[in-house]
Amino acid sequence: MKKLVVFLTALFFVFTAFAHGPTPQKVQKSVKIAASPATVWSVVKDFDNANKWLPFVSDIKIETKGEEKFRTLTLKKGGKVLEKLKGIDDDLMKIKFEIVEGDVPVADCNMYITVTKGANDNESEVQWTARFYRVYKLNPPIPEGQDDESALNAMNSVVDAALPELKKLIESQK
Amino acid sequence: MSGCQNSTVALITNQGDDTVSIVNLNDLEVIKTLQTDKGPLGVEFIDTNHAVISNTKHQTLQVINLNNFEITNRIKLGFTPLGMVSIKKEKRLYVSSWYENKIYLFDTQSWKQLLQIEVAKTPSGLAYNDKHGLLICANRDENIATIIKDNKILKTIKTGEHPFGVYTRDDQAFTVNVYSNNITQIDLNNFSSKEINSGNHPYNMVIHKNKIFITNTQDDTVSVVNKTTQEFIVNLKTQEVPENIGIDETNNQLVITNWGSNTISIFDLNTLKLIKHIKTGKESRAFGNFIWSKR
Repeated sequence: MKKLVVFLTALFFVFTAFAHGPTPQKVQKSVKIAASPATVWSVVKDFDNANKWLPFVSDIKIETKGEEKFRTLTLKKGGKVLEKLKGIDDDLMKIKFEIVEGDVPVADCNMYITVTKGANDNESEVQWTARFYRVYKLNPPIPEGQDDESALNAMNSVVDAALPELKKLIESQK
Repeated sequence: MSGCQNSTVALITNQGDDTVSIVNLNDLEVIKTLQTDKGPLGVEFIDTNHAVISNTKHQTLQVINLNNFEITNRIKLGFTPLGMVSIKKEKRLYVSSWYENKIYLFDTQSWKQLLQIEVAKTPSGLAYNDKHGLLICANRDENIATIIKDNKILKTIKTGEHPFGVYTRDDQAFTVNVYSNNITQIDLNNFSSKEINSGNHPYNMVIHKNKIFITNTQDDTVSVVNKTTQEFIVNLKTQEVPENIGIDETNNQLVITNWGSNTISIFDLNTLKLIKHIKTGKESRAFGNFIWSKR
């Protein structure tokens, strides 16, 4: 049994040493919505009310410090996430924000969502991009839940849950 | 590849799909895509016929023959490589080891590891100043630049926060400071330093004539700054998350890799106007010197 533990530990070290790098992780996903870009953008840019289409959020609280705006998302599964608005560009239809701190296993997470025209005037494409690192940035061994895979899983689940909900919300308003 | 004999090319490492896009900068098109080991990031040229890339996840270097754009050699490292800089006349390559706080020196003919230099935490960008015989290393998590002469640490210089990219020319070296939104200019004669402002989350820089060009990853811009007065001139609009930047002297072009858009952007250095965005592989990065001209 002892040999098995030693072997598994050695295997873990080999695997983790191999499976990481100083690499920003990327989640980039999009959804097509049957509505005009102007309609879709009016919902996407509404930083203060994103809880309408973030199904994992039970409450949103907005704070302004000088010219900076923040939102605290209370998660349905427990925990909070503090996010800072980094810019809204109406010409490009692009909103940028970052996670300042919170109960998500990511570090330095910067995100942007864009709205572009689809195949016709009544179709839009929304693309959500997140750039982030895993929580643990030092030498292996990497603590459980702080690796690249945990960070990627967390952000994938956020975007996978949000985009269909955004589509449903906008298309049901018509 | 016979059509490329007099070409200038960009070697773009694409960390998201483990490829290198070979981009002909005369014709502005991708002429070849090479499959690499996992996590290609750094690029450097080691002689007139060979480039080397660093693969962060696979912990290898791979050598690319510039005559036929084939991978000809793989060097297993046992550490996570990041920045690279070569001294071509000495056939030497320095490679920063991100997690070990070390820089390794290799012979680029035998690929023997010659020595290692202990530096501060998270060594990232490397640059070599030929005039002063100095190796400059950014240590991201300690907010310093390590200045190395004859493979020994000569000095450490305080920089802005999170220095990542490094650049050197003439009597100056620069670190690009991701968190403090500036660059640190270091005088290599007396090691005095000062900060010059950039946009948000800057990553790397180059100098052309009297202009400093800095990529701002969170603004999707390149800041253009007057080198003499340090005054801001203009922002060039790139695509998403511009990381690294190089000068194509042959065609008088500025080349920027856009990690977010999986593209490179080409600007005219005279007019500072956008010429074209070119699609590459996923998560295009090209950290280091990535533009090569056949002579």
